[in-house]
Amino acid sequence: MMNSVAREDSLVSSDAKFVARNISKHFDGVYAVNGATVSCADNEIVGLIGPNGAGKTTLMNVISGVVRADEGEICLDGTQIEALAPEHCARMGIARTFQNIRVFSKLTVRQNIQVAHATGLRQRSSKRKCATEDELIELLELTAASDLKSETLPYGTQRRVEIARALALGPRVLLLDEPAAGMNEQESEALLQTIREISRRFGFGIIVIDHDLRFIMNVCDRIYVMHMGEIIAHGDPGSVRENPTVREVYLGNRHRDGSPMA
Amino acid sequence: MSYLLLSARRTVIPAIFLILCCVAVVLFGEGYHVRVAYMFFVNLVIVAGLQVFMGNSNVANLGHMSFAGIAAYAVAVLYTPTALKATLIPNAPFGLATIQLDFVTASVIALALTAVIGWLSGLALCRLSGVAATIGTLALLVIVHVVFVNWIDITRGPRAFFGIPVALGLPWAVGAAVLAIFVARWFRDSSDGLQLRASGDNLLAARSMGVNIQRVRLKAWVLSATIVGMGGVLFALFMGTIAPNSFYFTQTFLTIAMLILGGMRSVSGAITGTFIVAVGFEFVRTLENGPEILGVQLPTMFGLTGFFLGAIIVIFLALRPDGLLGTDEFEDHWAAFRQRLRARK
Repeated sequence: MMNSVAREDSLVSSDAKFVARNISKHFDGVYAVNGATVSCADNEIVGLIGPNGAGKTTLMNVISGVVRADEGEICLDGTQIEALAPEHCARMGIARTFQNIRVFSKLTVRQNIQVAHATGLRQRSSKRKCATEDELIELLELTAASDLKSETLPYGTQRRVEIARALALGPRVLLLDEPAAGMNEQESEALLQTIREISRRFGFGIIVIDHDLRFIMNVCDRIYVMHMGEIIAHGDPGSVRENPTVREVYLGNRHRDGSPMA
Repeated sequence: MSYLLLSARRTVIPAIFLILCCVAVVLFGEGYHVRVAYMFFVNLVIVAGLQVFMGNSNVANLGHMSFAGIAAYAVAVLYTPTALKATLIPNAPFGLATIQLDFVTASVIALALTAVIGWLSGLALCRLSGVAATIGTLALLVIVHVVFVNWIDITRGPRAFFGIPVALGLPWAVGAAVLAIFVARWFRDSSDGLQLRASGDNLLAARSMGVNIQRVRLKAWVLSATIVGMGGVLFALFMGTIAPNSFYFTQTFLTIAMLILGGMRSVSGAITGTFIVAVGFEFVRTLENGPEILGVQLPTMFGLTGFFLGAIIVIFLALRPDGLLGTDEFEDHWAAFRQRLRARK
């Protein structure tokens, strides 16, 4: 018992603004997430990696209110938010993007941003600033596409629309669910710079899910490794890279010879 | 405020077109044409109202005609002279048989009543999504119809409520249609309208962007009910006679066919669809009666109009589910057209 508490506390950084503690969620008796804890401080970029089916997206859905957790608590700035519906989570300041793109396909890029901006402006306060539409369009390099219907845009651009839209909420924490999926090398490199720029400019915590290790290693300050619904390792990119358990579950036997990962 | 002006500006072109139609009918038409034109404007108001909820939320609505019925019966009861009501509905509750209002007051009260009933029904219906929501609206249509048929003291039941003095003519109908189009445009362009359209596009994403689905749907539902109610008032104050079947399946499918054909996602689609179906409907109605064309006597074909409406709905749902205009308004199409021209040069 002592051990588990000690382990859990080590998963939460001392200055964390956002904490999801001991989250469990099962579907028909199968645990998708089993006692997972993640946290995120301001100005921090946190990665969540793990093989397919590890429970990353379920955890993300629990945090954003899309799925109700069976157990566990979620705190944002000291407020409990684990029982809230998605729209209330959004108003509290949890913004997210979706792994399977969910832009408003019939609306233009600008209108996509306006939908979230209407919420963001209503929730504006001293703690939460809300960037203007034009700032977001410029930041995500959407100027040329701003008046086009989003269904006509290429995959990578739609992902950027989702990020711009999430930022329009004026969030306290930003969840990016596989933002680099389907992007080529250059696009994901550009995205990496954008994520750093967002962190620098707005200063809120960012949680990035991906299974592209190189991407996560490059962008994140701290990384959680998830497997079978549990957090099996945690730390800075260097220590996670060296962690033998991570190699075991994540890369299988191929890398036991100690060759550098990814 | 600025987008109120913008919506007004975007209403100008359809408004000019409608007014020209009206002037043409008044100058060159006979009584029959005036009647057809008037019904076109009534349907246009109803379809614009239907678009406000169905087009923006993307939730199919089969219950809108119940609001036209409620408003029509309300204005009929309030506006019909007491002398006539003494024989028509002598046992009307709340002393309704003994009061008579001018048609403006009667219409305002009728619309207010429709809005209140819309709000109450919306509290339940706006919680539903998808098929459940559609079946809920259908249930509303049936419930209201059953009330019309059985609350004989106030509606005269299945027998028609006749003798409503004719108070309105074509200019009123045109004015109401322009107002309905303007309000529909204004709502579509508003922040709530945009959030509702987003929810119709992707419900989960809209919720994750903080959209209160129930609130924006309820707002659209009440607005939609009120505009459709305005259509009901127009109908009652021109026809002079209303019956429960005036506001039932036939009208429901006629107006839905109009909206689907033009494209329910835009107000321009609603206008276009109403116009094309109205013209087609008149044409088919002529065919139905077995006219003589080029010396050939065609047989009478009863039910051809119903067949025509059914065929329109099926064909468009299968081949062009977004309707003729798709999701865009007239000015969007115009801008796209000009862009294509420029690209060609």
